[in-house]
Amino acid sequence: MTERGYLCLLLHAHLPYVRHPEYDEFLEEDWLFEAITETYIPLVHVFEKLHADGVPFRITMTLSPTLLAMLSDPLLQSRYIRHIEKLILLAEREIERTRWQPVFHRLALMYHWRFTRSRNTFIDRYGRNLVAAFRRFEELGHLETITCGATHGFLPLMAPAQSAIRGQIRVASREHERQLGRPARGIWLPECGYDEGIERFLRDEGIRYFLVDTHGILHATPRPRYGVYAPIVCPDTEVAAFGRDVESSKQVWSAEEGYPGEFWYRDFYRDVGFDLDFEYIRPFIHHLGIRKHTGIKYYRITGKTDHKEPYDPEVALERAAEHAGNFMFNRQKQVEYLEGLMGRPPLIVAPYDAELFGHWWFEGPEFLEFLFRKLAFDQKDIIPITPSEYLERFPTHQVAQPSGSSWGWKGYAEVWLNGSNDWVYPHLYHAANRMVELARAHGNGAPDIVRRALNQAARELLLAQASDWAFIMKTGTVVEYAVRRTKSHIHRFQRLADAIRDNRIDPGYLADIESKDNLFPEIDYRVYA
Amino acid sequence: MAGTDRHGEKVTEPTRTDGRNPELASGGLGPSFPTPLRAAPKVEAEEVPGRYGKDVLVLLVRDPYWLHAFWEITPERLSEAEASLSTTGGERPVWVLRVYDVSGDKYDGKNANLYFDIHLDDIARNWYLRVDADRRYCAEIGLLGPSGEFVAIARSNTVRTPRSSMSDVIDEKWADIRRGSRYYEEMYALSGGFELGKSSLELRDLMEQRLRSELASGAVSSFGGSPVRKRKARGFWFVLDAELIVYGATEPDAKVEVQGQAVRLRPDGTFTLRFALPDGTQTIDAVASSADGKEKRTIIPIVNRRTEVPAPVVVDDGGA
Repeated sequence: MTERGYLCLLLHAHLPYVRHPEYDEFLEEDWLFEAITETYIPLVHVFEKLHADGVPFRITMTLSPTLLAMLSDPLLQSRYIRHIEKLILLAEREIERTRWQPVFHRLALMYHWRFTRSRNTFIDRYGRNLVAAFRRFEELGHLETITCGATHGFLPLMAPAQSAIRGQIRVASREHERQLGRPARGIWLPECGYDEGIERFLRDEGIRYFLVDTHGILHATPRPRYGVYAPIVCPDTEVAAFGRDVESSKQVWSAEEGYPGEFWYRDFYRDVGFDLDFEYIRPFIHHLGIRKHTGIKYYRITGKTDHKEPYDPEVALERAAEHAGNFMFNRQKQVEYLEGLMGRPPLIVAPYDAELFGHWWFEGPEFLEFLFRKLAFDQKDIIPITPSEYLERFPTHQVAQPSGSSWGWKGYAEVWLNGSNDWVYPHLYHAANRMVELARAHGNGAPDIVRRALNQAARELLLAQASDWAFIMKTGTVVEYAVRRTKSHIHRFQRLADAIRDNRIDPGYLADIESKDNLFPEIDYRVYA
Repeated sequence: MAGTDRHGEKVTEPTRTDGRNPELASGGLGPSFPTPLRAAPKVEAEEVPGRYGKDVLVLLVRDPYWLHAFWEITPERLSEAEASLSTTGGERPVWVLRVYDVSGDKYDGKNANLYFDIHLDDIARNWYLRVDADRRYCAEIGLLGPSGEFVAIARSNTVRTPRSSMSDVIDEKWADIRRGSRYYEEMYALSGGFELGKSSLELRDLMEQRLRSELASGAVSSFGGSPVRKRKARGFWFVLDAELIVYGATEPDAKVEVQGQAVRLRPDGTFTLRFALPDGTQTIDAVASSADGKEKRTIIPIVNRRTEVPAPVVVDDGGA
């Protein structure tokens, strides 16, 4: 063993379930479409290139159950194709429109190439279902996919109704196995929200590890011998907890010092959806005439100025390579120092939201590609690893109780529990308890329509619990949408529950919301019994 | 369930395309123009219950120093509680949230370490409570009579606040006898222990807000203000650019090239090109060739753009 340490790079891919068949076009569905074009497909392309070149890369990736459900949904798949076809058409027009502006013309060509390649990858190579792509790279041994809460519910705030926690985890675990073909070995607790005891629900699903923010490990009892640079094992359950490394996070996350702020990188805000003449761009924005991001962006960050220079992809790519080299160099120094102090090879866990790469940080996927090439060919100190592989290699761990924590602002639950969103918790509490009562009252052998209504009630409960809604209410962005989603799922839940109680289930109503909130087709309400 | 879902008599929404036929639902994949503007379907207001008719008090942990309590008390239970209070003197009882510190292993429901009371106003339905880290709490809500008599109406779940610092417990088996506790402090610092909780102020939050925010559905959220909010926040501004539209017509079966590049004609033989027009001179040589190859016609518009930007005029109002 010549290596001095390990790097676990983790990408957390999650989007809330947004699917509105009742509308022809729905802006919030663009979250998924943008993420597919700008993050998921570029990442798949990076995986393909690394694999083709024999680079032994390892990435751990959360695929949240709601994201899996959307990626495999036929309606959203066909809407994505409509979306990318439109983008290709816009790029074609841009190629012509920019004919007398060479610096923009070549960017229009670049976007046209990227969009047509996205379409090709999406339709022809993976049969419209990107889950197949992630599954492929997991089977090839490069990717370790892990699960999340079923709908990304913030688990510590479900503590008064423990069955709600079990529901989030068990439904997620089953859905992951159904979609990826193997059980999830690990879990990204939504928002890294951890509360003592959650590990028991993980153990019950055969999940061997979870991730917490730095202080979840540092404030463990007893003191963790190796800080965040080795996992700890929870007492009695043998479930391991891995902690986030602050230093490697900061290099990427920090708005000030982080790589994505590089002046040569592409600017996110300047988009032809906002910049170009209304009549020209109108077919490509919201049908009510609301301007929006299209994804065609011609400028680089340039500096702290309103004056933006045109984007230069070649220079940006060079910067991404330099940043990858810098990231690796810093990890080498870190590993070298820590190994001396610890007396064993440290593990550096570097988790990021997957959508950072590509969507926000346009060059992010190339950064990852450079990083794994350099790790493979330019050094021997650090080995990329997944948590499962690490646990195989190091079977002995300190037993300690992690501390309640999250990776949100201030490190606990305040983002999801404050004056802007605390009104949701009484509703979630009563709904969770009512779900348990209903599930216990209807054991095996419930009539088909009752069973369907109970399953749908479970879906509505889960959808209402998504932490995304509380997060949006706090950040004050699309608050009305988040409020509406919370209310409608609670409403649908209670209406179904009343109907089940009164034995008066309306088949038309049930079928209607089954077709709208159609995720988790194999859910079994008895997880709440 | 296919096909039957929209026939329930209580469904008030207009008919929509069945989600199971995505090709239909997407309005086809016509590449050129968006779906025609149409009225958003009427969606029934889906409200949440105002009350659940249960007597409950629930505690949630916000962070090591704050709990959140919410409750609901039924009128029946309230009347009972009021009746059981001695009402001598005519003073009204007050609402109190009594918070017990129940840290320690053997709490039996009665032997709390200590408690404190929070006096609530009548309309409060929830409250944030200041507490200490790494302790266990439960609470009761009830009425405090004028004589100091407390009648509990609902009792909460028990919660535990997280630690806010390094544990004092050191595991002998994993202790480092050479360096003692200074070692732990160094590991704490190296692990980023002094920068906790900052993470989310930074790029991640910006990114998530962006990802989940920029697109608001006008149909739903009445989002419809100026799209260029980012600039507007910086005060007065002005941008201008120019594009040139070149259009023409010929026989529908003719071939047209503009600046050496083929132009797609509409079925009626017309065409339109649109170019961003930078400063400088553009020579736009357009050539139409008849289908039989026997005739060629050329038209060459020459366009010059020059932009002048005089210094801004700012009225000095005396520095008010």
